[in-house]
Amino acid sequence: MGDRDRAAGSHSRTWAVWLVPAALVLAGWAVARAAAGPAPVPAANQLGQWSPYAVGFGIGILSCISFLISNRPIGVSTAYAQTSGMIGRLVAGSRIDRMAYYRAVKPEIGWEWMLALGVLLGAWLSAVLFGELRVEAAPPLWVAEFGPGAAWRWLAAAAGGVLLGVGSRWAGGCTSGHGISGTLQLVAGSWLAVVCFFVGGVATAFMLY
Amino acid sequence: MLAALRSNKRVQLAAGLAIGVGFGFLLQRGGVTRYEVVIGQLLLQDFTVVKIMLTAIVTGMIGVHALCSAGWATLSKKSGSVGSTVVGGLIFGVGFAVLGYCPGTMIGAVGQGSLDALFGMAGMLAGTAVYAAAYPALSGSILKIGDFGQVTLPELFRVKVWPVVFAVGACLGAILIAVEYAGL
Repeated sequence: MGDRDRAAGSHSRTWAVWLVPAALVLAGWAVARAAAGPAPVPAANQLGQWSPYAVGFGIGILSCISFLISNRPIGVSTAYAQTSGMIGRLVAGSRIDRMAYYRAVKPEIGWEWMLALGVLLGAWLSAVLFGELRVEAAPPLWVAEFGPGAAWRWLAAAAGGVLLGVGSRWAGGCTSGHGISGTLQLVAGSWLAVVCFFVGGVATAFMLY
Repeated sequence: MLAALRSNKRVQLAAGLAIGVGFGFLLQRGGVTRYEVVIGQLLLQDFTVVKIMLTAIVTGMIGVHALCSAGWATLSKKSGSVGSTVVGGLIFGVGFAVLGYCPGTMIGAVGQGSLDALFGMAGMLAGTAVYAAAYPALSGSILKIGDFGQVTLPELFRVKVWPVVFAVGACLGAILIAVEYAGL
């Protein structure tokens, strides 16, 4: 093993911590520039949306806070596995805890479960504060494309959800765990995963719409 | 102090909740809890999802690696294989387009009143249960194909971390600028 091998992937540069305030200033400047520039005409569904750069910057900062306080990456799909295990335990009892998968992912109210609960509360808070809270059986685009029958949308949503459940556990993460948290840690497999998410998603979307 | 904070279970559950509230708030503000925005991205018409993700990656990449360099955090890497990452990723992609939300944004969609996302959540719970039942068979076969472990890009290319951080940051920045210039 040469020096290069030992140095690969190492984190020995203390000075690098100064990159945090530097990045904050730079990103703040970029956001301010973007906000000051000529605003494009917003599409109907973009009224009231915040700049995607401001939102992305905020999510990046949240990732840092998550690593600092909890030493964990943000990832939502684990909470579904925890919940399905807890529901399974209600139905099938302690048999669930003997299953290989639930021995690896403990069915309990853990950090990830609280994160998912927080996402629900945070989105609700945002919708209330910005007047976007409205009960909607099916999204307007679906109604325009496939007609007003909400039951069909619900069926399609459930089917899509099953695929997301199988796929996210199969790949070991979702758009947050791989797509943001894994990629920002420069994990090669997470970059591969997010490419596959979008290849599958774009191909399917072009077939469906 | 960090160690005490991290070993306190109640503090950690509260931290998870607080980070989730911030995450859900930002997802809703960015519009990605809307079916139209997600489908618009998958049809390559509205690049909101990509803009949010790439900006988050650049910001978080610099910050998290700085925390690691300072010794305040350690990376938490997922291992992968061709059989797990590619196959699972493609199944996920199909579900992503059929549902029009991802696992996190559909929870946010429920929070803003989109009832269809509730059915997506129910489906996803069923899907994870199906996967858990199939896991023993899968883990001995397809998940092992093309195993590459927890390798990171710096390890893969045998270079130090920070040059890769800057290179990836520059590439993602260039993509974002190109997307803006293309008017997407």
